[in-house]
Amino acid sequence: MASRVQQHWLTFSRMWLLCDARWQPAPELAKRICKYLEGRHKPVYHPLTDCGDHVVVINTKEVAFDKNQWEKKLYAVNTGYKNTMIAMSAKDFHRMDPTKVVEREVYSELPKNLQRKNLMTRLHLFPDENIPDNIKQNLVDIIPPVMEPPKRLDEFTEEEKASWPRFFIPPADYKPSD
Amino acid sequence: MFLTLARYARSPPPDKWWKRRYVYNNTWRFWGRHRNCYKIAIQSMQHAWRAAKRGRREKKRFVRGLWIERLRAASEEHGLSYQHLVVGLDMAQVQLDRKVLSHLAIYEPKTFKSIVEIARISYGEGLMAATGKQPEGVSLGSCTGTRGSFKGDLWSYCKCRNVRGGLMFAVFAMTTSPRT
Repeated sequence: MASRVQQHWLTFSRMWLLCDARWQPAPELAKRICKYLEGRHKPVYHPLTDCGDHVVVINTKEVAFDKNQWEKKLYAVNTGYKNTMIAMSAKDFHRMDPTKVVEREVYSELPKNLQRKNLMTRLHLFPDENIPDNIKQNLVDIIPPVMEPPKRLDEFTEEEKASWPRFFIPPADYKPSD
Repeated sequence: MFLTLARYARSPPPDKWWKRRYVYNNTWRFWGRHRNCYKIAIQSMQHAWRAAKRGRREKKRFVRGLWIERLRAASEEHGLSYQHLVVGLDMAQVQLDRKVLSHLAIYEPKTFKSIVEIARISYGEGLMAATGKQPEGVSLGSCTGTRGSFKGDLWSYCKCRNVRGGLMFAVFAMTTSPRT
C-alpha cells in the first residue's frame, strides 16, 4: 500500500498511450489525441495544470481524409511579408513527410496558448508500426479508435460471405447481361 | 449652508486630499503613472473595477464548465456519458450538484463509481418503465414503491417517476434513449 504522498505523485504521473492512425479520419483523430495530450480524460483536469499524457501515434502513413480533402485541403506557411505564402495540398504534404499531416492537425486543434509547444513535444509520431525500444517499453494503454477500420472483401471468410444478408436472390435461370 | 454671502466666503473649499487618498489606496499596485497621477489613476481604477465586476460573473461560468469537464472525464472512465449521468441521477432523484459530484470523483473515486452505477441503472430503468418493462438484476429501492402506479401511458409515467417538466421531459427522455 502506497503512502498518501506516493499516491499524490502517482496522480500527476505521465502515462504513455498508443494510438493507431490506420484508416482514421485525421481531424477527428486530432481531437481525440488533443483530449489525452491536455489531460481532459482525467477528473483532476484544470487548464493551468500540466496533467497531460504522452501519445505515441503509429501508422500515420495510412491516415485518412474524407471526400476530396486530400486535393482540396491546403497546408500553408507565411513569413508575414507580402506574397510569401507557400501552400501545399494535403496530398503533397503527406508525400513529403508521412507524419506531417497528423502533426499539423493536432497543432491546429490544441488551444492557442504558450503551452501548445510543450504539449507538442509529448506527441510522438511514427509513419509505420516500428517504434524504438525506449519508447515501446513505456507504453501502458491504448487510446480507443475514432472509428473501426472497415474490412476489405478479401479479409472476410467464406462463412461470413455466405451468411451476409442479401437484398435480392436471383432466380435459377437468371443470366446477367454483359 | 451657504445662505448668505458672508457665510459662503468664510466656508473653506472641500479638502481634495482625502478624496485622492482613497483613489491612490486602490491604485498603489498599478504600474507607472497609473498610481501617482490622479487623472490617470482614477481612470485605471474605474477600468479595474469594471473588469472585476465582469470577472465575478465569468468566474462562475468558468468553474461550472470545469466541473462539467471533470465529470465528463470521470464518468467516461466508467463507460457512461455525462448526459446519461446527469439525466440518470435526476430520474433517481439524487440531488447532488456538479460541484459535489466532481469533488467526489477526485477525492472519493469508489463512492463516485457507485453513483455512476445508480445513474446507469436509473437511466435504463426509467426507459424500461416508459415501455412497460421491468429491469433485470439490481433495482433501486427508492423507486420501487412508486412504480406501481404506472399504467403504460406517458401521463402516468410522469406521475409515478415524479418527472420534472412533465410530459415533454418524458418524451425527451424516451427519444434520446439508446436502442437496446
